[in-house]
Amino acid sequence: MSESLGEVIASDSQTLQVECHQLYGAPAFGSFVRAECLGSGTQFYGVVTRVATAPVDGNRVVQAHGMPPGELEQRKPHLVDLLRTTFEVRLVGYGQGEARVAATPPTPPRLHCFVYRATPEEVSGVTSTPAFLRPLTQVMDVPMEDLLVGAMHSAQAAWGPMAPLVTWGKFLARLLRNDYLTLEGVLQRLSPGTGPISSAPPRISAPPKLNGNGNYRPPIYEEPLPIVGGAPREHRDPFADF
Amino acid sequence: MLDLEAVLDAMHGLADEVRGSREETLRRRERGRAQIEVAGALDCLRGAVQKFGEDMALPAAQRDMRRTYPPPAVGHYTVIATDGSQVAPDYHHVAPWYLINAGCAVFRYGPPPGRSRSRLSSEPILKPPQRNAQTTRDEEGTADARAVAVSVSGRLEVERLRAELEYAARLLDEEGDPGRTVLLLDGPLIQWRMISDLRGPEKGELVRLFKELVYRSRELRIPIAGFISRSRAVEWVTLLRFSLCDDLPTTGRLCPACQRGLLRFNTEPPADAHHAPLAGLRDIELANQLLDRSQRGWRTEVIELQSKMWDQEITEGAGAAGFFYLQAGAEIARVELPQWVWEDQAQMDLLHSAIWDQCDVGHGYPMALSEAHEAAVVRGADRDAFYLLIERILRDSDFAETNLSAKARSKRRPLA
Repeated sequence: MSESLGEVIASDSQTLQVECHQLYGAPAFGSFVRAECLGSGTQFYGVVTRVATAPVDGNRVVQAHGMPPGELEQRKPHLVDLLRTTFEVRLVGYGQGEARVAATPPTPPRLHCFVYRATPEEVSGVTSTPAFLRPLTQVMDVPMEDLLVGAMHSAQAAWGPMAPLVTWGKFLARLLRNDYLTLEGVLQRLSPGTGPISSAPPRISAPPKLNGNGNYRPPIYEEPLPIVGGAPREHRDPFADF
Repeated sequence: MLDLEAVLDAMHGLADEVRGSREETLRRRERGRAQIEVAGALDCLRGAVQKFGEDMALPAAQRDMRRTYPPPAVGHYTVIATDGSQVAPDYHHVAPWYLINAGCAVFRYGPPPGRSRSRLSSEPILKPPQRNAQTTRDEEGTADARAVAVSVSGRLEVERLRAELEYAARLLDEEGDPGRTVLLLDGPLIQWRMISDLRGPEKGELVRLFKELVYRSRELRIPIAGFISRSRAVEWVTLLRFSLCDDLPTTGRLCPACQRGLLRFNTEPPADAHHAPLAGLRDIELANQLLDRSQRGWRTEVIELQSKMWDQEITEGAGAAGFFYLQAGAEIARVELPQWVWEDQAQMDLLHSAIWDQCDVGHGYPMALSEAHEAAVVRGADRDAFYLLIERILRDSDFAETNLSAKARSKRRPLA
């Protein structure tokens, strides 16, 4: 078993709060983790939705000291005892042994359970259906586009080339039917060649595609649907002149 | 609830009073600065104070009080600090148990092999009330005696100080690193005021603990010092007022009027008294004249304290105590230390550099002392949890009367 990342300090049916064993030792935003309670036989899977570092004692105030990096830790050797890093996890599934399901667990993990990075097999298991995406669209006060992209990239890394991206994308399209902007942003960022750190240059501002007449040609998912019983009408993008 | 509006006018009046006395204070400070030069050149001053025989400051032997010293370069060192706090007994709760909490902070800069870089810990001590507590003569035989019989023996401050001193003595052995450790106490080196107010066995016990701490630190060659923020002391000024006597340069002693009035009239002497010009000045105002704000970490020369209590009770004539003032950045701080520290240049340099380094990183107050305080402090939530735990334990032990008083209930849940 890999080394644990932290310990559950708050737990409910949807979210966990985990205190890291090591300062600044939290897993990446959007990555998958597993909470395991000794003796329960149940593993809980979730996605990291927030990472924070703050004083342990709420009465302490963090202030700037004006010391260069390295000097602060030297002159305040007790700093690691005063601060802690925590992360929040949105539960997306649970499992027992090899069986994993993307659903809310019947009971949440107990306090003081340890949390580990989820293995590729575990991530593949819990993301084998796109249902893991639904709870991620319900997390409050989190940039949803970043969360979805981070989670899907993490899941994609676990699956490798066989990742069911299209299935996830179609499911997401239904989930975000009322939030087209977020959906567009997610799908654009999941396009081949993009990723959190990609070797290919990012397609930030690709030039607009033009048709034979020199007019703007919309992306393929904006192509008009064929009209039954008639020829496709001429399409003119009303914003082509802007 | 505090009605601040009701005292607003009085506050404005206070500010006017402070503004009015400012010019007089500035004149006094300049006079004090000038007198340091005069007193520093008076060879007979130390002998004259010794002949006077009263408890007061005197120039340390072969030391020039006009001198100031920059902070030595900081090397590797270990600093230990302790502090104490308490949860006072509350007779409105189910049982008037109380708690003493001693906290410590240990920091090592360039730790020796096998030693940790820091330690923050506290030692709570639960104290139940003693049933055979001594009652006063007036209370014996009265109905109140039964209530007093379950009261706390001794004052809470004494018990807290006792816990701090015992903890500090243990830490000297547990955490002290030879040749590089400094022990800081919050407040005076010896709590003279508290000790002189005490009577009976408590006084003897506190003096014994202080003595053991001072002797143990001397044996281990660990400089020990008390750090006082915003000191109100006037000992150095009193020494300068002593030096103002016209008879001193010629006779080597005070005139009869100064002998009678020097220590009696500290703030409002007779207008024609020799020592009148500096009355009302405080030591830190004097130190401010010598230590510019830009001289961060600099200190004044050590001034010795002539003290019968120190000689008789602590060192039995084997050394004096003294003090110096330090430009701590945010303010002038007073540091009290024993003679065996300032007479050993290596220990003095270690103490000076360590205290300044701690003040520098602690924004004007030694970080070790503030962290020891944080380790010791008992906050409201902790106090409430303590009382709830007592109630639960006693209830689990089938103690029938686990009711709060009506007053405690009203505080816990004030009604609208």
